[in-house]
Amino acid sequence: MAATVEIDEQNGAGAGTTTHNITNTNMGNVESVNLDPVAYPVTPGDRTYAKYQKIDVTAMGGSSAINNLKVWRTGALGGAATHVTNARTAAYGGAETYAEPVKTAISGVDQTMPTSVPGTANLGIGGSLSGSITVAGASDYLVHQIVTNVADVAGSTSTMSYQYDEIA
Amino acid sequence: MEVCGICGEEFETREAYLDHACSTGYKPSEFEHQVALDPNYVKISEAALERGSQQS
Repeated sequence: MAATVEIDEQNGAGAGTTTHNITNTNMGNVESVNLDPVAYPVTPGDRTYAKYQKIDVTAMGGSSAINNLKVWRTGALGGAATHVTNARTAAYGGAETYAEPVKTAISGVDQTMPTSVPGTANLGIGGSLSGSITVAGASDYLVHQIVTNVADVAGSTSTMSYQYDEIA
Repeated sequence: MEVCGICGEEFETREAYLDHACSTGYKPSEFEHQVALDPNYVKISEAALERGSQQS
Protein backbone atom coordinates (compact mmCIF):
# COMPACT_ATOMS: atom_id res chain seq x y z
CA MET A 1 0.00 0.00 0.00
CA ALA A 2 1.06 3.59 -0.50
CA ALA A 3 0.07 7.02 0.71
CA THR A 4 -3.30 8.52 -0.13
CA VAL A 5 -2.97 12.06 -1.42
CA GLU A 6 -5.55 14.62 -2.51
CA ILE A 7 -5.69 18.32 -3.40
CA ASP A 8 -7.75 20.61 -1.17
CA GLU A 9 -8.91 24.19 -1.56
CA GLN A 10 -9.82 26.77 1.06
CA ASN A 11 -12.49 29.41 0.43
CA GLY A 12 -14.49 31.98 2.33
CA ALA A 13 -14.06 34.46 5.14
CA GLY A 14 -12.36 33.84 8.46
CA ALA A 15 -10.96 30.35 8.78
CA GLY A 16 -12.78 29.46 5.57
CA THR A 17 -14.16 26.18 4.34
CA THR A 18 -11.91 23.36 3.17
CA THR A 19 -13.11 21.48 0.13
CA HIS A 20 -11.30 18.16 -0.07
CA ASN A 21 -10.34 16.38 -3.27
CA ILE A 22 -11.16 19.20 -5.66
CA THR A 23 -11.94 18.21 -9.21
CA ASN A 24 -10.55 21.28 -10.98
CA THR A 25 -8.73 24.53 -10.34
CA ASN A 26 -10.78 26.76 -12.63
CA MET A 27 -10.04 30.43 -12.04
CA GLY A 28 -12.37 33.36 -12.61
CA ASN A 29 -14.24 36.33 -11.26
CA VAL A 30 -15.82 34.65 -8.24
CA GLU A 31 -14.43 33.40 -4.95
CA SER A 32 -15.47 29.77 -5.14
CA VAL A 33 -14.16 26.25 -5.50
CA ASN A 34 -14.78 24.36 -8.78
CA LEU A 35 -16.11 27.55 -10.37
CA ASP A 36 -17.53 27.94 -13.85
CA PRO A 37 -15.17 30.37 -15.63
CA VAL A 38 -17.65 30.93 -18.44
CA ALA A 39 -20.24 32.13 -15.95
CA TYR A 40 -17.67 34.28 -14.14
CA PRO A 41 -15.29 35.74 -16.73
CA VAL A 42 -12.53 38.08 -15.66
CA THR A 43 -12.69 41.67 -16.85
CA PRO A 44 -9.62 42.25 -19.05
CA GLY A 45 -6.92 43.87 -16.96
CA ASP A 46 -8.19 42.34 -13.71
CA ARG A 47 -6.89 39.39 -11.74
CA THR A 48 -8.77 36.20 -10.98
CA TYR A 49 -9.61 35.48 -7.37
CA ALA A 50 -6.65 33.75 -5.79
CA LYS A 51 -6.65 30.02 -5.12
CA TYR A 52 -5.45 28.69 -1.74
CA GLN A 53 -4.73 25.00 -2.17
CA LYS A 54 -2.86 22.27 -0.33
CA ILE A 55 -1.46 18.86 -1.12
CA ASP A 56 -3.12 16.78 1.59
CA VAL A 57 -1.89 13.36 2.67
CA THR A 58 -4.94 11.66 4.15
CA ALA A 59 -3.05 8.47 5.03
CA MET A 60 0.62 7.50 4.94
CA GLY A 61 -0.22 3.96 3.84
CA GLY A 62 2.89 2.56 5.47
CA SER A 63 5.26 5.02 3.85
CA SER A 64 7.61 7.03 6.02
CA ALA A 65 7.57 10.44 4.33
CA ILE A 66 6.16 12.64 1.59
CA ASN A 67 8.37 15.47 0.40
CA ASN A 68 9.88 17.34 -2.57
CA LEU A 69 6.62 19.05 -3.56
CA LYS A 70 6.54 20.57 -7.03
CA VAL A 71 3.75 22.45 -8.78
CA TRP A 72 3.62 23.79 -12.32
CA ARG A 73 1.27 24.61 -15.17
CA THR A 74 1.43 23.39 -18.78
CA GLY A 75 -0.41 25.09 -21.60
CA ALA A 76 -0.41 28.70 -22.69
CA LEU A 77 -2.54 31.38 -21.09
CA GLY A 78 -4.79 33.59 -23.17
CA GLY A 79 -3.38 36.82 -24.57
CA ALA A 80 -0.73 38.45 -22.40
CA ALA A 81 -1.97 37.02 -19.11
CA THR A 82 0.48 35.85 -16.48
CA HIS A 83 0.15 33.31 -13.68
CA VAL A 84 1.63 34.25 -10.31
CA THR A 85 2.21 32.15 -7.22
CA ASN A 86 3.97 31.94 -3.89
CA ALA A 87 5.64 28.70 -5.04
CA ARG A 88 9.34 29.16 -5.69
CA THR A 89 12.51 27.08 -5.61
CA ALA A 90 14.64 29.74 -3.89
CA ALA A 91 13.99 32.45 -1.31
CA TYR A 92 10.83 30.63 -0.29
CA GLY A 93 8.75 32.94 1.85
CA GLY A 94 7.58 30.30 4.31
CA ALA A 95 4.07 29.01 4.81
CA GLU A 96 1.48 31.44 3.48
CA THR A 97 -1.29 32.26 5.96
CA TYR A 98 -4.84 31.73 4.75
CA ALA A 99 -6.91 34.85 4.10
CA GLU A 100 -10.20 35.19 2.27
CA PRO A 101 -9.19 35.02 -1.41
CA VAL A 102 -9.10 38.34 -3.23
CA LYS A 103 -8.68 39.42 -6.83
CA THR A 104 -5.99 41.95 -6.02
CA ALA A 105 -2.26 41.47 -5.65
CA ILE A 106 -1.18 39.44 -2.61
CA SER A 107 2.14 40.00 -0.89
CA GLY A 108 4.55 37.18 -1.69
CA VAL A 109 2.40 35.84 -4.53
CA ASP A 110 4.57 37.26 -7.26
CA GLN A 111 6.57 34.38 -8.69
CA THR A 112 5.77 33.25 -12.24
CA MET A 113 4.21 29.80 -12.17
CA PRO A 114 6.65 27.33 -13.77
CA THR A 115 5.58 25.89 -17.12
CA SER A 116 7.56 22.68 -16.70
CA VAL A 117 8.49 20.54 -13.73
CA PRO A 118 10.85 22.53 -11.46
CA GLY A 119 14.28 21.07 -10.78
CA THR A 120 13.73 21.23 -7.04
CA ALA A 121 10.83 21.62 -4.65
CA ASN A 122 8.87 24.86 -4.96
CA LEU A 123 6.14 24.30 -2.37
CA GLY A 124 7.00 23.89 1.27
CA ILE A 125 5.95 21.69 4.14
CA GLY A 126 5.92 23.33 7.55
CA GLY A 127 7.28 26.48 5.98
CA SER A 128 10.34 24.83 4.45
CA LEU A 129 11.10 23.50 0.98
CA SER A 130 13.04 20.68 2.64
CA GLY A 131 10.18 19.74 4.95
CA SER A 132 8.50 16.34 5.02
CA ILE A 133 5.06 15.02 5.90
CA THR A 134 5.55 11.99 8.15
CA VAL A 135 2.03 11.66 9.55
CA ALA A 136 -1.20 12.43 7.71
CA GLY A 137 -1.34 16.16 7.10
CA ALA A 138 -0.98 18.86 4.50
CA SER A 139 1.55 21.05 2.73
CA ASP A 140 1.84 24.80 2.98
CA TYR A 141 -0.75 26.73 1.01
CA LEU A 142 -0.14 27.01 -2.69
CA VAL A 143 -1.50 30.46 -3.55
CA HIS A 144 -1.91 31.40 -7.19
CA GLN A 145 -3.90 33.67 -9.46
CA ILE A 146 -4.06 34.73 -13.10
CA VAL A 147 -3.23 38.33 -13.98
CA THR A 148 -4.91 39.33 -17.22
CA ASN A 149 -3.97 42.13 -19.59
CA VAL A 150 -6.41 44.81 -20.64
CA ALA A 151 -6.02 43.67 -24.26
CA ASP A 152 -6.89 40.05 -23.51
CA VAL A 153 -10.11 38.92 -25.15
CA ALA A 154 -10.42 35.24 -24.25
CA GLY A 155 -9.61 32.77 -21.54
CA SER A 156 -7.62 29.59 -21.95
CA THR A 157 -7.37 26.02 -20.79
CA SER A 158 -4.22 24.65 -19.22
CA THR A 159 -3.22 21.94 -16.77
CA MET A 160 -1.93 22.27 -13.23
CA SER A 161 0.37 19.53 -11.97
CA TYR A 162 1.04 18.74 -8.30
CA GLN A 163 3.89 16.31 -7.69
CA TYR A 164 5.32 14.67 -4.57
CA ASP A 165 7.96 12.11 -3.76
CA GLU A 166 7.12 9.24 -1.46
CA ILE A 167 9.62 7.45 0.77
CA ALA A 168 8.57 3.87 1.47
CA MET B 1 -15.96 23.49 8.01
CA GLU B 2 -14.82 20.63 5.84
CA VAL B 3 -16.59 19.58 2.66
CA CYS B 4 -16.06 16.42 0.67
CA GLY B 5 -15.55 17.54 -2.93
CA ILE B 6 -16.78 14.18 -4.16
CA CYS B 7 -20.07 13.52 -2.34
CA GLY B 8 -20.69 17.03 -1.03
CA GLU B 9 -21.17 15.99 2.57
CA GLU B 10 -20.16 18.56 5.19
CA PHE B 11 -18.17 17.94 8.38
CA GLU B 12 -17.16 19.88 11.47
CA THR B 13 -13.69 18.37 11.61
CA ARG B 14 -11.01 16.92 9.36
CA GLU B 15 -11.18 13.70 11.35
CA ALA B 16 -14.89 13.34 10.63
CA TYR B 17 -14.22 13.94 6.92
CA LEU B 18 -11.50 11.29 6.87
CA ASP B 19 -13.78 8.79 8.59
CA HIS B 20 -16.83 9.10 6.33
CA ALA B 21 -17.79 6.51 3.75
CA CYS B 22 -17.82 8.42 0.47
CA SER B 23 -19.80 7.71 -2.68
CA THR B 24 -16.86 5.62 -3.90
CA GLY B 25 -17.66 3.13 -1.15
CA TYR B 26 -14.40 3.95 0.64
CA LYS B 27 -13.13 6.45 3.19
CA PRO B 28 -10.91 9.31 1.93
CA SER B 29 -8.05 7.83 3.92
CA GLU B 30 -8.25 4.55 2.02
CA PHE B 31 -6.03 4.05 -1.01
CA GLU B 32 -8.90 2.48 -2.91
CA HIS B 33 -10.82 5.76 -2.66
CA GLN B 34 -8.31 7.59 -4.84
CA VAL B 35 -8.07 4.65 -7.23
CA ALA B 36 -11.85 4.70 -7.64
CA LEU B 37 -11.69 8.40 -8.47
CA ASP B 38 -8.72 8.15 -10.82
CA PRO B 39 -7.64 4.84 -12.35
CA ASN B 40 -4.23 6.45 -13.00
CA TYR B 41 -3.69 6.90 -9.26
CA VAL B 42 -1.80 3.61 -8.98
CA LYS B 43 0.70 4.80 -11.59
CA ILE B 44 0.93 8.23 -9.92
CA SER B 45 1.67 6.51 -6.62
CA GLU B 46 4.25 4.18 -8.15
CA ALA B 47 6.03 7.12 -9.78
CA ALA B 48 6.10 8.99 -6.45
CA LEU B 49 7.63 5.95 -4.75
CA GLU B 50 10.20 5.59 -7.53
CA ARG B 51 11.25 9.25 -7.15
CA GLY B 52 11.40 8.74 -3.39
CA SER B 53 13.63 5.71 -3.74
CA GLN B 54 16.12 7.79 -5.73
CA GLN B 55 16.53 10.24 -2.84
CA SER B 56 18.45 7.81 -0.66
